[in-house]
Amino acid sequence: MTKVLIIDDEPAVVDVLEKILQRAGYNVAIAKDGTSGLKCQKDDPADIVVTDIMMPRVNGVQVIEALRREHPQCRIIAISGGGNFGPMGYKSEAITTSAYLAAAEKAGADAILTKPFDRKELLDTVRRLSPA
Amino acid sequence: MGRVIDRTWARVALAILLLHVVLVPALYFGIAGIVQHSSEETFANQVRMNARLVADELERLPADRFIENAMPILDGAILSGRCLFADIVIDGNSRRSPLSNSYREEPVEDFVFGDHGDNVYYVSVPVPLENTTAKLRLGFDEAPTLAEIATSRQRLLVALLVYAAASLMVGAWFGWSLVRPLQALQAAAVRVRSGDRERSLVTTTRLLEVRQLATELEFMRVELVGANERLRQEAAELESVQRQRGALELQLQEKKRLETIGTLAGGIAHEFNNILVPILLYSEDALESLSTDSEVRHDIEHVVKAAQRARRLISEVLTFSRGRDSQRTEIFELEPILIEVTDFLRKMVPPSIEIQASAAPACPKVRGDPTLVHQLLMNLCINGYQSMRDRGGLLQIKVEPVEWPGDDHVARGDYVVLSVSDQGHGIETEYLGRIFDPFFTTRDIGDGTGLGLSVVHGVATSLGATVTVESQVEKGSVFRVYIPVSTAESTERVGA
Repeated sequence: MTKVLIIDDEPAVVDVLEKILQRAGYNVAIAKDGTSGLKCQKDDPADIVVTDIMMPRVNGVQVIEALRREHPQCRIIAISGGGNFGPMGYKSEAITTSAYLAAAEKAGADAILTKPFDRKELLDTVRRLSPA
Repeated sequence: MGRVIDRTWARVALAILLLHVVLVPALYFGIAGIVQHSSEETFANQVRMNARLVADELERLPADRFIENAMPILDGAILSGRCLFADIVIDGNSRRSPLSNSYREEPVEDFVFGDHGDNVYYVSVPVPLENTTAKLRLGFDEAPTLAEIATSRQRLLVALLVYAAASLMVGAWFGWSLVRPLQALQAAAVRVRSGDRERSLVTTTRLLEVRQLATELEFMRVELVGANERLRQEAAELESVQRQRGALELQLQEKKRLETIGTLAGGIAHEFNNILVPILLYSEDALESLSTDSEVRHDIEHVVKAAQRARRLISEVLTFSRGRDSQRTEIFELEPILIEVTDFLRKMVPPSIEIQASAAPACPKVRGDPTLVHQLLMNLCINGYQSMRDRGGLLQIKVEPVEWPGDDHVARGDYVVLSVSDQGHGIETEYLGRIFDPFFTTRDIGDGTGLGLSVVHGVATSLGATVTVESQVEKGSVFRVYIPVSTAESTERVGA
């Protein structure tokens, strides 16, 4: 069974992604921030990592860079909510969406989903990146 | 100053006049006296010499027949025209020439010239004889000499009057020659003071000092004109700079205001997207699990549609705020976008709205995100279409290169201008400053989101472009987007 790790600091998003992916037959793990996400992946590597871009402390781009470095075989889906500001505490010049998306793509994300994506879009992307 | 000069001129003329009032009589009486004295002396010498000659002739006569021989000599003296009277007195007896024409019967003494009233000058000369002394008496006519003196006086008077008149004329001419160029200079100075600084101060006077003064003043005038011109230019430049500065400050304020709005909208959109994710996904997931005849399916479908509508709305908000940091950069032509948008519009708008689109040949390329430019043009066209929807009219779309000289709104440079003009309701002046604000609309509720022109502004900002609008109520509006021309020909991607 394909294992998917969801890294997002927004509980409502995590919950719905978990529910949909579980219903679609995937084994889902959850992490609430970048640090715990990287720890989860280290402890129990997932086939696909769905990570938010804008997160406090360790952001999504840093997560992708670490994953590419330590788990080159895993597939990564970056998701972003858009907008110019992320959660409080971010430097404004560093968190513009398009800059992050471009940085995520450059860091090695296999796919990018822009919130709010629909169910089909999510499942199609995960299915496409799942190991055969 | 004019009065002073006039007074000076009058003083010069008066001085010359007074000088001649004193000088002319003095000269007259002095010279006339000299002439009279000289004439009298000449007359007296001639008289004495003639008398002496007659006396000499008489002395040579023989004594025995003295009287008989003396008479012809006396007659000869009168007939010669030199004398009017001639006699000889011997021993108290007078023997007179019968040709004598004497005014006095018994002249006994010599007379002073002109001082006896009968115009005859008497002179007596002793004539020694053998045993006695006779006295020769002759009377000479003074009238010619007196007439000559009178004539001389008249001539002298005329000469002095002519001299005085000539002096006055020369003095007046000199004074006028001096005053006229000064008056011209004064008039020129008045002109300069009153603002007419273009005419030269150089005069044609022969007076060297005045000419030099005029030349110095002319140098000062030229300096003044130059200084005034420099001051005028500096003032104009300062005014222009201040105007541009004011316009730039307004633009900066407007830009900051929209950036603030964009930042706020972007932040809200981010949070909204996070909220929409569970709404959309839960709803779609619920639809998957519900049978087609479920009673709540219809309600859930409404939730999905509302969420999708919210997603589109937030997408527009993000385009407004994200346009400023677009990372996709290409060098492209506007004409294909123009054609694409125009084709779409022709299918969408009613026949009452005519669409004219034109692109200048060989239009330069621009740099930016072509999909955003597509959206910009589409939004402008839809905006124009909506303003004409109930009345019809012409929607003109143009793409043309412009070499812009620069004004208060758009900096100087080479641009490709994308213009969209309509014949709709127009925009009231009070609203022109707010039309790019998100959610600002003058249309009815539900008729548009109020984001169309905000997106235009956001995209224009990402292109480094400037949007201007001209509008007349009930006549229509013209939106122009000045997009800087790209000089690079290669296509590139940044941040890919």
